[in-house]
Amino acid sequence: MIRNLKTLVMMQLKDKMDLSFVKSRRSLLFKIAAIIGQVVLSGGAFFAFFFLASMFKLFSFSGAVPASLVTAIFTLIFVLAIFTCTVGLTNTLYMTSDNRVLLTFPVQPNLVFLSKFVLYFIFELKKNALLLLPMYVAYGIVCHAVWYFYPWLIVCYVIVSLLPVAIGAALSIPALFVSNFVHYRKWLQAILGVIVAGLVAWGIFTLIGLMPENINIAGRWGTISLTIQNWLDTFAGWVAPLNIINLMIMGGTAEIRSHLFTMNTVWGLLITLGTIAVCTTATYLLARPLFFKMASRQFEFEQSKKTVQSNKVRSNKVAPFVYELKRSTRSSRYVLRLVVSLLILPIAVFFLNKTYAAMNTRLIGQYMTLAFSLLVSLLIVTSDNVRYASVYSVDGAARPIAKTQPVNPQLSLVSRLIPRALVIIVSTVAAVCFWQSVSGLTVVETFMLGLAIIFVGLAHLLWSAEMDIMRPQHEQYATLGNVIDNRNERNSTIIAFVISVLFAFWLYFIADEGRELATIKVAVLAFVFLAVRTYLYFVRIRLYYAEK
Amino acid sequence: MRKATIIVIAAIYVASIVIVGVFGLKALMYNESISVKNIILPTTIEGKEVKPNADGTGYTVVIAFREDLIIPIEFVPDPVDAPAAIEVTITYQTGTEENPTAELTHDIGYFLTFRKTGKVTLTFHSTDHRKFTKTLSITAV
Repeated sequence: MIRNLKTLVMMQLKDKMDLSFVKSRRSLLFKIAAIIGQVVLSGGAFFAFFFLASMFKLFSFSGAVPASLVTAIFTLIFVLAIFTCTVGLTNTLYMTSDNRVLLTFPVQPNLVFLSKFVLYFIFELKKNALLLLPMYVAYGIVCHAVWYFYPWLIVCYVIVSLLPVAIGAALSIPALFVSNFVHYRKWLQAILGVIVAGLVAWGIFTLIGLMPENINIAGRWGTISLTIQNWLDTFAGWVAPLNIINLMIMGGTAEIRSHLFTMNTVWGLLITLGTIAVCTTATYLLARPLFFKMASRQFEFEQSKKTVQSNKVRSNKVAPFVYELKRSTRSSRYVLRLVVSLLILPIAVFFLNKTYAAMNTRLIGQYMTLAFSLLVSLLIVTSDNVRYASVYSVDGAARPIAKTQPVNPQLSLVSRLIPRALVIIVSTVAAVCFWQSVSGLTVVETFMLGLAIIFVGLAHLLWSAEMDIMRPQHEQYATLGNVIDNRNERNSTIIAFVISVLFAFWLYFIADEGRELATIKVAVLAFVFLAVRTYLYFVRIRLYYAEK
Repeated sequence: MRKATIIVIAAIYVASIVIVGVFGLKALMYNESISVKNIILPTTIEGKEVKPNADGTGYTVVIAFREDLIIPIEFVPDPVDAPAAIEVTITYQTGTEENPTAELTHDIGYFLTFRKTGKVTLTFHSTDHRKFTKTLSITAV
């Protein structure tokens, strides 16, 4: 039975992870070294954080690093793990088509069901080995923990890694019903998407708006520290069960260096094991039958609900644009990506400039804020363009069809870039409006900076797409499905950083000529850059698509 | 966006705030006038109430002794934004120099480790010109 389970788990692991390194001893050694490096790096980062927090007395006036801080970090990691496990297990238990194949194997069907949990348990162990384990080890070293804290940590690491998997499995049942309900109702998806995006954006902007008018970190250090300490204590009270689990692992601020085990250890174990037992039982009784029902559904006879719409005939010039707009919004995943791309720039620019506005800057500081805001804006816009360095190649074997379409190739190729171009324009307009509202830029400066960002963003977009035309990678996409290290994307990333830095530095160095004049010069240069890239893009399309 | 790209942008983002904060601010006079006027001690230690002495000379608490008893010593300066540090020292304790009642360690925070039953007096004092002091006697029985 164990052998069959191991085989099932290994099969699914190979499907989800690259295990080719196991075959070669050299690759295995490299892989082990890389994993150890990651763990050490993560532990080093946590050690530095705890050490600096103690040095700057951030969480206690005596310099101690309180257990409530670890509770807060543990809670964040734990909640994310539950979310990941719930979504992942809902998909892998009920929605993946490999279940139909797995159930035909000569093993007990229960083993197939169990293998899914073991799989997620392994993922959770792997993730926690890079996060939770280094965090607690770092805390133990900083706080001079007793020696038996470390073996105890290994025990807790295994138990605590099982907890989100058990909770996620139990939550997968309601998650499936909610997911199915929403899946077939596009209007509900759209409304939910808009509400969630709106609430998140509103929440972030409200939080940013709450920032004090005058940030004096050095002068108000004590108040900041006390506020953080009080908040951590209150938060630990809100998440009392998770706080007890954390205290089960580490004892407490003083206990970790003396006797480690307290009554919290007993309570923590009871909570952890009790939750695992309850969730596992609920999963076995409720999720297992559902799993078999979903896995054995005869998909050959499934009929998806499709509404037949009349075919609208559009002109050759309009049709490619309409097609691309529909293509970009055809699923919630694509819409979400668009919404994130739309929101990320205004939020980042608003927060950055709100922070700068709270600082009492001198003239050179004002130039710096201008240049850094432009740098961050350009980096966000151009880095998001990088995936367009494979925009045509991702079609794989279908890419040559573009040559056979009875429309001008320029039209069909450009239309692929239109949704992204619209996102660049809309998000930049929103970003510069927020920028202007907190930074005291004049209308002309704001307008010119907005134009500069849009021009550079569009120029980089065309450049990235042009790279994909001139050095197509569609054969790799056709055979592998995905290219991990696409040289066009790599080059596009390098270009994105170089042009962003060049524009920002240039603005900084000419800012003393007068901000208005400087922003006009930057906008003009950005326009020239866009004009050149547009010319080259179309010239190369004509070259590449010329009939031979 | 790739993870590495996101990390680099995030690093530039944070670095930009730090650089402006370090090199771009107007020079400010350091405010040395805020000195520590009081040191607020915890209201309870090991679940026992910390009480002021009748003569007003300090504070006292009596706790139960157990093996490996370590107490984190916490305090809050008043006003909290006073830049001076607070130092804690043992000014009196029962026992001998070779066989003390307790040890005060200061590595990451202050921790008082009781070795046996007895009384320890801790003195908290600010490092500014006012040299404000407060005492706390902890008796483990």
